[in-house]
Amino acid sequence: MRTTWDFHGGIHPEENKHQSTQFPIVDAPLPKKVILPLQQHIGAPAEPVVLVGEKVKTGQLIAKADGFISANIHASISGTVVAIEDHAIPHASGMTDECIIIESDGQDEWVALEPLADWENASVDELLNKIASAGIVGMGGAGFPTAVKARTRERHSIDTLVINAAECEPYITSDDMAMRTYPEHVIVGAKILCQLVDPSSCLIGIEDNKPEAIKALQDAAKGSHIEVVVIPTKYPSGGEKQLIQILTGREVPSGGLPADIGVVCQNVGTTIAIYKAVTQGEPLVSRVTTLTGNAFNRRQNFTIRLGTPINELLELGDFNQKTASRLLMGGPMMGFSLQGDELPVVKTTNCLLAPTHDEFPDPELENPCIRCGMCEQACPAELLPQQLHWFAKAQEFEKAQLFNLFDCIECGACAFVCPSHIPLVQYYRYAKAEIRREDEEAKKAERAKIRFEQRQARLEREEAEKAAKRKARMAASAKPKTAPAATTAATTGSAPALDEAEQKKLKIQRAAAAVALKKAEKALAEGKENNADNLAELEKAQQQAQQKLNDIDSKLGTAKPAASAAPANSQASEEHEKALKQAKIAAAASKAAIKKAEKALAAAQEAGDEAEIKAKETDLATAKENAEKAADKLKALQSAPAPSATAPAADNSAAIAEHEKALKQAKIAAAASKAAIKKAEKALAAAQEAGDESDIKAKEEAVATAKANAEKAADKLKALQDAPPPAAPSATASAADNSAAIAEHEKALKQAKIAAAASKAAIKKTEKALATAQEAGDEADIKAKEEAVATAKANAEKAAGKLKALQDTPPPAAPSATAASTVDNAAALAEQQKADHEKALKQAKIAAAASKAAIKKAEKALAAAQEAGDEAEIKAKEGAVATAKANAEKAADKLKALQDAPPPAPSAPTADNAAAGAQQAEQQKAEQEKALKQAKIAAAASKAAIKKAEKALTAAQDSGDASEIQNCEQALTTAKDKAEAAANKLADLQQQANAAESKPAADAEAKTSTSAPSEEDTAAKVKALKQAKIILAATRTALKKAEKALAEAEQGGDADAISEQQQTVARCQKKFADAEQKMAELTGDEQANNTVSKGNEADTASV
Amino acid sequence: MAFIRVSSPHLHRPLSTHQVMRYVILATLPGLAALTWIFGWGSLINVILASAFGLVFEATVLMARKRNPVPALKDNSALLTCVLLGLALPPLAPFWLVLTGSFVAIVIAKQLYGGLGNNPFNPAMVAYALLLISFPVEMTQWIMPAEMLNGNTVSLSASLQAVFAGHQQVADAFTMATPLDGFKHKGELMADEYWRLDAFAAEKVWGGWAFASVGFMVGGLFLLWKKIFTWHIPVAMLGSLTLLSAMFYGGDPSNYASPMVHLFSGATMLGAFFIATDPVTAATSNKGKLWFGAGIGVLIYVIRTWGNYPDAVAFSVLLMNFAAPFIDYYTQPRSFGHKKARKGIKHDA
Repeated sequence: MRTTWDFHGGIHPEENKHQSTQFPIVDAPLPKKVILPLQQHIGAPAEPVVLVGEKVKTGQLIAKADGFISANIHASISGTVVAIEDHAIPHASGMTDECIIIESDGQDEWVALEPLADWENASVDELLNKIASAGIVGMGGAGFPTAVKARTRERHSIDTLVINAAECEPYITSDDMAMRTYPEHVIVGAKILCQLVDPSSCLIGIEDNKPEAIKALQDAAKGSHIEVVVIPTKYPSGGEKQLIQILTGREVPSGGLPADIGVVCQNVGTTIAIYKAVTQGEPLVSRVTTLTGNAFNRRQNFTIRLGTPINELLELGDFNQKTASRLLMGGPMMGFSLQGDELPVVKTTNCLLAPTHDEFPDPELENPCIRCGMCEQACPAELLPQQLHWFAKAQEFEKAQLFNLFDCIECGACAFVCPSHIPLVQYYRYAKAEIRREDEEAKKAERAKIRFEQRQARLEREEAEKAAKRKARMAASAKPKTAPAATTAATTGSAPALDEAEQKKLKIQRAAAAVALKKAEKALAEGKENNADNLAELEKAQQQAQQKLNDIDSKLGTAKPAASAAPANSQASEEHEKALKQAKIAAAASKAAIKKAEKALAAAQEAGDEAEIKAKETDLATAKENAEKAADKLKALQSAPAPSATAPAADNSAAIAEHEKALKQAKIAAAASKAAIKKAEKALAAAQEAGDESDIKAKEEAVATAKANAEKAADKLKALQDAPPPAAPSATASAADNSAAIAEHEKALKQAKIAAAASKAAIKKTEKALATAQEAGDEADIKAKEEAVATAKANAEKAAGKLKALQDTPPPAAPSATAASTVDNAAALAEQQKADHEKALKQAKIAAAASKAAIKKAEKALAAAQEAGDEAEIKAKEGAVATAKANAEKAADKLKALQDAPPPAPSAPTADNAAAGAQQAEQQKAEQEKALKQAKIAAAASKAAIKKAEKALTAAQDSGDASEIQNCEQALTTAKDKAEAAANKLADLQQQANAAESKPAADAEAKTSTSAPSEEDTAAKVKALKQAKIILAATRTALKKAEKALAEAEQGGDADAISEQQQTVARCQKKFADAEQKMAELTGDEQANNTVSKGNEADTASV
Repeated sequence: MAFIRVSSPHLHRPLSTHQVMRYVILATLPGLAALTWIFGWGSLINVILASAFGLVFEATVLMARKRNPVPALKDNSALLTCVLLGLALPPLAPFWLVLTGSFVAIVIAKQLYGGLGNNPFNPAMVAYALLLISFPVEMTQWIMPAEMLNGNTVSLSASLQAVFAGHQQVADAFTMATPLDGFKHKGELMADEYWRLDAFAAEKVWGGWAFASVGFMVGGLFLLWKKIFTWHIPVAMLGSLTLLSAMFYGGDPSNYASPMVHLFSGATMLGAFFIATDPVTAATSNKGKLWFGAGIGVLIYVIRTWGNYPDAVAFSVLLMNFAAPFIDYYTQPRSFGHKKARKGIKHDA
């Protein structure tokens, strides 16, 4: 008798095995269909090798092992593959997985089997191939591919082969009955395994509660070196580690394999499968399964085809659902309950247990743990189960790990003995799953970090390469330039050099002034932040600094004309170009700085370091500010009349060329910005593919910025295209020397614009600071920042006011020109006025665009706030959005008013000059066409906005974020409203254009003095009508919006909000009614008018 | 067809908390019978009173905590606590003493910490220690054994009078110091002189105490046999106490009490089998239980011999309750497949 060892703990539940051992194993009837999961084993799922609709025979390979640890799947019946799809599989989680479903043809036609008759002399590889191709896996429960396990000899020296025949779980008798029925198969299978593993001893461990099986095995094993070792019955002696300890006294190290201590363990069912595979060539298509539990009237072992649906087995076992308390796959200790009967039998299904309520009553209420320690006495892994329970309950997973949670084999002995009925194993599964998840996340973060570092290195390398290239290019371009400069300097003498020196001095002064201004601004900002009481002083200082800077700027400006006054015109223009180039370089450098800063920010966001992100954001803001400044300077330089042009205008082709150059540059900029958008979008797509949330956001922002840049570039381009080439006006105005006055005015305007831009930048900066503060969640900080934003906005308003005032005041040159010029030059005057009008229009457009951008920004901030879920914040942002929208409406109104206002030119004509009239008509037509074009662009843009909003909405719906979806839906409706308005406007304009087109002809024919006033009248009426329509549309959208807001408020259930929204709706309704009434009046007027004009026509006809 | 889903294991041993508690209560019966036999109705009245008060307090607190009191009352844990408290209190203790003790045990020591399973200190011992410090006179007046009263215990009516009406003369007439108390305050007398001083009384009193102790030991052995608790705590506690007392008694028998006195008088046996083994407040691992029990034994000897109190089971148990979590961290068993046991909460270096 071989000595055996004992393991710690263990329990003795009632065995309940006799119920299913009364009858021999019987073949279950062929199933009508089989459901074969692609993964019935540990490792990778098998790869299907059949197609839906294909005829298969029993034993045919239908799915091939995919990877090292995987197993083949064979058809268990002959028939047709009807589906390869997700199906519920037997799993503790009740999950679904891909399965091959075969409908039986009832024939059970087998493929030709290829047995290895002379297995005793077969090579190890041949045997392994046979086992692997038969798809054999551990049949005890885990389902580890047997061939892989049998290969352990390649890496470990094995001295003991253990055949696990303990079958310690209550109720299950499939191994017991199989051993009684096929003891020779067990022994031959063990011998084949011995040939593979080559151990010095082969032990079959079997519990002493199976005397028949013991006897049968001992008889069959006679004369072989295989030893049947009878061990005492104690659960869980059939656990691999426990059985190895019982038979060999060795402990499988924690986290290790039996092979580490020279042991390979195989289930007894597996040996039978090996026997069949090798000696008969039969793949694993069936297994012995116990149907037991008192809810089965027929409790017995069956040979069942794999994939047989459970409902067919329930029928087979004469299942009584009324008495059943649950349905289990596996034994009562470690088996899992099934959610339904649509599940298949798989390779590891050793038992189907249907106990009655008497056998397995519903679980009792969980009581508090009293630390009785009974679980500790029962634990075969020598853990402290109650401590693990406390740790799992308190989510102290680290402590649980330190108390060796992962050595738990989930045998359930602790829960079995627990007097408090605590489902301990469930707690351990939970803790294990949580720890694994955390590990997985940590690993993911580590991978992301490495990826990021690599990317960063690559970017740095690229940046360095780019810098080197740039340097080389600059060096190459510097050489040819120095030569002409030297020659011109030589020919033109010292005067320009002196000027240059003076300019340099001025520039230095300007830089100093700029620094002083910045300092003053900073001090002011700090003062505001700290609520200093010397705010007024600080503000004054700041204003002084600004004043000084402006002074220097103006000096610098005058210095330039002075330089241009120098006889050498070409020299001056070269100077200008040089300045331009420098400005461009500065602009490019600032853009590069922005890019760098953005990259750094993205990197910081990826790394997730909050402080770092903030620092980078401020960096980015500064970079952007710098860039804006540089761009402004560049623009100023570009728009500044090239000195050569203002100088005696012998030929203005140079000016035209300048203009064209500017155009070209703007086009290039537009193209570059488009490319940037594409790039950013590509990056976004990549980020979305990678699924990194923070990355996606960063990329989306990048796309938005790129688009904004593109818009800016497009605006600029349009402005340039719209602006009449500088040469033309200078040429026409050459008679009267009012260009200087105009220049003065323009300078003032420019300064005002710069101030406005600066104030906008300040707003942006403060808003950004506010956003960061809000992110940081520092209340006091947020308030301070909000104040700063408010002041910045006030400043901006002031600046805007100043700008408007300047813009509204007629340029001094114009009146002086009219006064000085010979009066009969009406054409020039008209043109001048027209130019003014256009300028105003342009400004209004810019204002409108700016207000739209502000809305977008505010909406973005609102969305961010909604995401963050801060109620107060959301409200504040909603207010901001509303103000922005109101501003936008104002701007739009102004724009509309300007667009609608009759261009000043028509009022100028003093005489009824037919030629002038024709010209005027043409001008009007051109104007209308321009408006039409713009309206079309607006319509297209609004459509694009809708598309974008829709895309965002689908993305939001994909992500399933409710608040996000709502936001997007809102954005979509707004976009649609806008589009509607744009379409309306477009339609109106087209109508008008058609009318205008037909008008001139009639005009030309009529040419009578009587028709002129009535026509003017009708034109005014049409205009009024149009306005009324627009107002009507606007009020309609406003009403709609208000109604929507009301509905939302009602949904939200906030009484205050509801009443507020109701008031808004009422107001909107009133406005709408007013608009409608006005509209009605106007249309009535028109009709009356129409009849009058018709009458007139009739009159003229009669005349 | 759909079935209910339950996680494994699906089998359960038919032993629940309330049954465990019932076994322990049943196991106190020999001790209670012995006490009643020797000292009269006092202990029985204590136990009944304490149980009644305790259950009322338990239910009240649970309702105040907005919990269903029924399952908690059914688990017998409050009953057990109060039975143990009643056994520990001196017979014929005034009812308010029992009331106060029950309140402290159930409301303060148990429920305020979160109820069953969450109390760090043994509730009965918290109550006992509080009463001992607050009412030392009432807590140290132990009734005379029956044999000293010519075989007649105090009558039931007299007992009830003493308990409820506070007839101090009844109590005074029949009470005397416990053997441990007497030995403690023997003054300059040698040990043998003390025993000889009132040989009759000493023999009778000590005999009575020993009888009661045996009663508790019998109950404890029954629980061991039933595997309600393991042998580790009682054996370690009694072992360390025996060892220490034997050492000192062997060195100087005239000044130190013998191991037999230590083992079979006072609350030693009650403590070893019923108090120290309270699983909620004890160490958990087998190794930890050994340390825990040994610590109690040592503390009992130290306090009895050199401290100010004649008996010390309550204080010793409470002091070791303090140490239990610490002991738990350093006495983890060597888990299967591990080379050695882990000590403390730290990662392997």
